[in-house]
Amino acid sequence: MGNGFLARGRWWPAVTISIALAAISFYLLLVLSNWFYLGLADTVYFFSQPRMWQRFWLTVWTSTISMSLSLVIGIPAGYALSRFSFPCRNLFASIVDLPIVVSPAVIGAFLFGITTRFPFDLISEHYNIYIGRNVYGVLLVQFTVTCAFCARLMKASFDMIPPKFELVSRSLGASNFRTFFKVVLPMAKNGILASMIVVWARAAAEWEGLMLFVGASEGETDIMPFAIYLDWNGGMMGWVTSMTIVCILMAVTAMAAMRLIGGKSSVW
Amino acid sequence: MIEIQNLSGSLGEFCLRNIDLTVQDGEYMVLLGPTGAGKTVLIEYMVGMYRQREGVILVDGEDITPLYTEERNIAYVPQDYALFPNLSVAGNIAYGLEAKRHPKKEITRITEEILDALGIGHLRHRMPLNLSGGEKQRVALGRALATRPKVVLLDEPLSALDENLRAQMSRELRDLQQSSKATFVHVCHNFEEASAVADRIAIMNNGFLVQVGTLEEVKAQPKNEFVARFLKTQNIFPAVADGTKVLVNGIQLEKKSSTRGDMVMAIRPEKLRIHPDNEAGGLNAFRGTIVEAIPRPHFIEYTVDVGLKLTVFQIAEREYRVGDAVTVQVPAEHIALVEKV
Repeated sequence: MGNGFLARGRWWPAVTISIALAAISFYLLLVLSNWFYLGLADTVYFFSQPRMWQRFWLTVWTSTISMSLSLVIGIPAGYALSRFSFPCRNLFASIVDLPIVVSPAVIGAFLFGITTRFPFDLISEHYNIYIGRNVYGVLLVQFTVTCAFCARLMKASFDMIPPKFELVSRSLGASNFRTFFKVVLPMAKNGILASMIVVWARAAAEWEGLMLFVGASEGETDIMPFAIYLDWNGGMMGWVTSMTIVCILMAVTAMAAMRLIGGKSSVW
Repeated sequence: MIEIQNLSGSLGEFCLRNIDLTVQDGEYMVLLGPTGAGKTVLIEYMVGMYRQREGVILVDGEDITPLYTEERNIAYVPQDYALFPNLSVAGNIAYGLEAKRHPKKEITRITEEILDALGIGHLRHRMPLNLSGGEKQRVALGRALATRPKVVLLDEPLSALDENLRAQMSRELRDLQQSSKATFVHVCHNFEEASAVADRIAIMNNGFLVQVGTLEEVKAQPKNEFVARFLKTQNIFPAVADGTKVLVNGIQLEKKSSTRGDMVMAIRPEKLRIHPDNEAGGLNAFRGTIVEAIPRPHFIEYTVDVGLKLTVFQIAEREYRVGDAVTVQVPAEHIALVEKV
C-alpha cells in the first residue's frame, strides 16, 4: 500500500479517499469554472494586457522584498526561540504569534495608528519618506504580516535539528557563529527554503491589511489579491476572473516548489 | 589528568550530587550505571553544556569550568555520533582543524593520516547518510581525535551497533585510545562493554558517584548492594557478620576479614566451584543438589540448593545434571560483605 498502512476492510480507505477526491474536485471545479466563464479568447486578451503583468510583477517584487526582510528578522528570531532561554521568552513567543492569529485587517488598522505618530511622522516630515498609501505601505503591511509567520516557521525548522550537533561542533573548537553558519544553517536549509516559499506566498496573498492601511492606487498598491477585490467592486469580472487564474497558478507553483524543496523537512 | 571536585548541578528534577572523580592521563575510564544515573549529564557538564551549581573541573590543573565548550579542548562523541550530514567523511574529520584555523596543507595531511589509520580512506568522499553503523563510529572517532584533544568523551558509543560489531569496535576503541594517548571517558550501562575497554570504572546511581576502581577491585569488593547487583553478582543474601563468621539463612560461612553487624553477603558466581559430592570438604564446603543447569556460550550456569540457592558459573570440565548431589566450595577470600541499600 505504498507509504500507507494496511487498513482493515475496504470500506474505510474507500470512504476517506472518496471524501478527499470530492474536496479536490470541488477546488478543481472552482478553477475550471473561472476558465470556462472567461473563455479562450478573453483569456488571451486579458493575459496580453500590460495592466495584468504590471500587477503580477508588483506582486512578485513586493512579496520578494517583504520575504527577504522577514528572513533577516525571522531566521535569528526563530533560532533564538528554538534554542535559548531568556526572560519573557513565552511572552515574546506569544507576541510573535499575534500576527498569525489576528486578522490582517486588524494589523492594517494598527499600522495606520502607528505610522501617523512618532517617529514615523518625523521621518516623513524630515526625509520626505511617507509610508502609507504607496508601495512602501504595501511592503510594510506584507512585512508585518509575514515576519512573525516567518519566525514561527524558522523556529520549527531549527527545532528539527538536535542541539547535540551544535555541541559537537563547539567541542571541536568552532565558535557559535561558525557553528550556526557551517552546521545549523546547512542542516536547516530545506526547511528554510520551504518556509521562504510559504512566507512569499503569504505576502503575495495579503490584501485585508492593504485595504485598510494602504488603499487603492492604480499601478502602485494594487498587488494581485487586492486588485481582485478592487476590480470586483468595480464590476470588472473579466479582470477578476483572469487574475484569479494567475493567483491560482502562482499558488500551485509555490506549493509544488515547497513540496519539492521541503521534502522530509516540511515544517507545517 | 581530569579532576572533578565536588561537582553538583541540577537539570529540572534531576540532580548531580557532589561528584569527586580523578581520571589519570591516558586512562580509559568508563562511567557505568543504570539509565537515569547521571552519566550522560556528567559528561555534558564536562564538555560545557551546562554550568554547575558548585564544584570545579580541572584538566591538567587548569579550571575549565569558566571556559566555553569551544575553549575546553575536550572532544565529545554523542550516542548516535552526530556526523554533520552536509559534509563528506573527509569534511567531517577536517571540521575541527578548520575551526581551529590550521593551515590547509596540515588539515589535508592530518585528515589523510586519520582516514588511513582508521581504515576508512575509501570512504573519504562519501556522505554520512550512506555509512554503516561501524563506519559512522570510525568517522566520529576520527573527527574527535583530529584536533588532538586532551580528553575524549564518548556517550554510549557502541549502543547503536549489533553485538558482533560491538565486540570488534570495543577492541578498536581500546587500541585507538592507546595509540592516541588521549584520556577517554566512556559512558555505558553495559557491564560487558565496560569490561572490554576500561582501565577503571566509575559506577553512578541517582546522580551520585558510588564507587571507583578497576573492574577486578569493584567486582571483588562492591561498595554496596546496588553495585553488587549492578555488576551481576547473583549470590546476594542478607547476612549477619560476627568477626570472621557470617551467618546466612542458618548457614555459617568463614570469611578472611573481620566485620560485625547486619549486612549483605555477595559472592560472584564465577568464584564458586562445584565438586562431585565425595571429592571436596573443608572450609566453606556445602553439600547440596543441582536444581538447574543452563548451558551458556562459554560456561554452564548451575543453581545449587545448599540451604541457599547458589548460582555457579562453571566451565564444562565435567557436566552435572539436575538432581546430582554435589559439594559447593565458597572461597573465604571471595565473600564480600557490603552495605544494605
